[in-house]
Amino acid sequence: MNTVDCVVIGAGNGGLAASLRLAKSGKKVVLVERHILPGGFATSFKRGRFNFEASLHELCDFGHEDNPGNLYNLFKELEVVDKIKMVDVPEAFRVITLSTKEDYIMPFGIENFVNKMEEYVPGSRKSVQTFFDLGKEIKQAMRYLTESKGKPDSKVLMAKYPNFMRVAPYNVDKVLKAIKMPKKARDILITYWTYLGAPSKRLGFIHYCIMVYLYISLNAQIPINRSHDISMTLANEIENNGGKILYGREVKKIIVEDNKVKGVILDDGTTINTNHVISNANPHSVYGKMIDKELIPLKALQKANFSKLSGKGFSMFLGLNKSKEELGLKEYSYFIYDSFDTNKEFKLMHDINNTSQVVVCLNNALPDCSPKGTTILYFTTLFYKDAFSKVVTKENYFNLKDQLTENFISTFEKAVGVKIRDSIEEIEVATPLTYAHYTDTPDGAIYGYLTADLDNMMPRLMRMYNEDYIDGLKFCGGHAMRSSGYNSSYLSGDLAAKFTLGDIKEEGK
Amino acid sequence: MKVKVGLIGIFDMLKFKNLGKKREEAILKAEAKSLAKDYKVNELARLYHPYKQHLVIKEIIDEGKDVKSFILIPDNELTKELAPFKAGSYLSIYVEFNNQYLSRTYSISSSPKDALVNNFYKITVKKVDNGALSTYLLDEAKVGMKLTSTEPGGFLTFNKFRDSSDVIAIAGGVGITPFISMAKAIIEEEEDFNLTILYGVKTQKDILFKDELNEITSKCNKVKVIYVYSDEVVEGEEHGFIGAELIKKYAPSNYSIFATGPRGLLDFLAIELPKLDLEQKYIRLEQSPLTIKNDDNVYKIKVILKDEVKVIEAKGNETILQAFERNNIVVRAKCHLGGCGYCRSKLLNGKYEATRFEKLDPVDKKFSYIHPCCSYPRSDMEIEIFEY
Repeated sequence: MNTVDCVVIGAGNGGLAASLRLAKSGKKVVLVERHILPGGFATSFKRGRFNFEASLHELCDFGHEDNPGNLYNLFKELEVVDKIKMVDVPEAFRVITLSTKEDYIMPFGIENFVNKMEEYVPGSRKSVQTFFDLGKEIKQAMRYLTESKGKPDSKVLMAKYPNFMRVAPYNVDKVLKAIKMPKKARDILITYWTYLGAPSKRLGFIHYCIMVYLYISLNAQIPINRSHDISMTLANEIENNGGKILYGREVKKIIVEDNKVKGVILDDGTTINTNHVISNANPHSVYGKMIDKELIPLKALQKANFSKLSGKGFSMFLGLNKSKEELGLKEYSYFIYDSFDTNKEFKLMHDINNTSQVVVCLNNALPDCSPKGTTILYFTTLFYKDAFSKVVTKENYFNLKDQLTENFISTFEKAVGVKIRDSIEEIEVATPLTYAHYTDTPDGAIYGYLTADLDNMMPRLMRMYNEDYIDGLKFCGGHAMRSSGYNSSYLSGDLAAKFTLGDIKEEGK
Repeated sequence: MKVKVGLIGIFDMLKFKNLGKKREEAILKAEAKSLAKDYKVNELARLYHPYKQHLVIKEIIDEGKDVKSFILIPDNELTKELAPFKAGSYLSIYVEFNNQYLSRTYSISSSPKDALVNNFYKITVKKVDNGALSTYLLDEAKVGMKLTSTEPGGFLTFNKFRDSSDVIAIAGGVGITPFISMAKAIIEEEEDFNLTILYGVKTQKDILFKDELNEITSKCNKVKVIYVYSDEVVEGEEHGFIGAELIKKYAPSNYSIFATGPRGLLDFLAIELPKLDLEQKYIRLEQSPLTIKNDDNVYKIKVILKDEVKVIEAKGNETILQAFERNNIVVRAKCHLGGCGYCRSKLLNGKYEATRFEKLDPVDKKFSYIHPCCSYPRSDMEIEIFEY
């Protein structure tokens, strides 16, 4: 084991995909994971008679055999697609705003979505259809960009994807206004913004548009046995293909000589020689503690400082002792905001009293996910910057959890008009501290780097061939080139592995 | 379709091409300062969820026949501060002696504040028949002895969103310990609920923490204790076993039951509690391990840890975890019941029988994982364990 082709740090979604791609390509790969479970946030846990999903709301860019997304194709290439059973999520979303008292339910399917929007906002049809047409063009343009390996032909871009080129430099607000979408329709359309975690005026249009397009055109899916099934299946396949996973081990140091990766040192003192490291751990952690400061190129530090840690995770998991029918919970996803003003909302999320939340009623996609007569409901929000860290102390942690629980439960009850408080049979609360505990993610950040401004997905992708600062060191995960989200993380792992395979091939010449 | 965002289209093309350049410029303008080695939230995460706590016995208190309490403080060099906990939690304690590494869970009887402010835990241990660790702790352990523990854990803790604000605690024997911690937490205003403890003991002599309980109940009207004697009739006090009728007598209209104690008590409650017609959410039991003693065979287990392989003998009447420990193989274990997942190991070959407390995720089952703490060998086996 002392000399391998590549060491992958962390068995999160990116690390798993990267390791499996390398193993399937016949490379000697060691995946080092500090926990005894693969998946990072992609896992499940039991409380009483409930089996909770730890983080996944819905997969984007997956789809079905007859209309596959990129993630479906990746899982097919990696020969895991038939090993994980998925189901469709029933509707796109229900969004409720508290201060303006609005409430909309949107369906999957572009036609359905456009029709429903027209019903809610008469006169919106044309602009909403344009939005989805743009989504389609962006998807094709992105495929072309990937195929051209960072060297797209401007002429081809201009000829085939002119609209893509025209909207690419702009944020969501700007383009939606340019296509003359009525204000109300813009509001409803922006609902998914918390999946990317930046307000609409800082969020690149390309990224938001393609995400919504992929969700609405492909439907969203979830695995029937929680995301733990995806993680375990990928981990199992890595081992079946000759890859090695070291659980309960941490990479303490990346050995760098002459600005080249030479190996890693594990927490038990073992040295593994390698010229390639793919880190699913955040660059903040890698540069902060795994490489000696004097060996880090200035530009690498500048790049890390240029990027900002995104939202810190907070989730609440409830096992309720009534059925979804008894409770009156008809939808799968509830996006509950104070208002549709994403800028204001983003600001509110910089405060500990933030109650913006995305809630999933798992039984509406998986009726049998909990015992008969019970319901699983889980809540997620993000706290930005030091909203959580400046408040939490050694002494107040348990009380702070209770305080936040109170805020989220009362907000949900008020927004949805459903009483859940009396039916709580099991409750578990995960704070940034919990995420830091299980994955050591810096400050409990669960979305990698903030996907905003020049750190949007498009500029990240445009520069991904130029942002290797130490030879042999690549990154994957929410902080990497495809930004955060399950599909982005898996795809970034695959990309990092492919780049590494290219480098290994070069070395062989 | 032609979408126009900027006023003059050609600038959009330039702008698009310039995105990468502008990003590069912004990166070059950023500071090159070192990145933090650590974060407050990560530091707190390690305090609340330490990988291992290194502890020293500071004091040993004789609590009565075959029962001793141990005051545990941090072994300063390796553990600075103790992990905070919610009243009702337990520790999984590890002690190394005679070439074995034994672990058991013991509820914490000191208050959360004692850990937070005074930096100690108190656990209370009763000697059990054939209990290797309890026997060692009662007969051999001395002040100054070092041991280790996991983070505090367990689910017999109060949650105001789930539980009734009136808790009827049912304790048998040494099972009183988590409720002592809760009672103290109520006095110290760390918790806020009404606690009525139905405390089952054989005779008056067997009451543990009598003085402490008297002191607490005299100071605080939120905590009440009712002694229930099984082997003795005491004038004006309850006699018999703690069953549905007795619970009803002391319970208000809405209440939660928290119970822990020896197997006999829990088995009796399994018959009695359904008579109360309570929603499942109002019943929280901290089980004690089940044993399956129906196989006198001795099996061989091939244990694989990374690249090391060790073959051990395992008895059909002991859990796989006990076989590991007898052979000085350390697996991190917490609940010892089959539910927490700490000892999760991969079964490569062989058969086993698990107690009914085994909680295995369906995915873990599919990939042949087991929880050695609740599983008994039923053939020669091959198991991959994880150092954690």
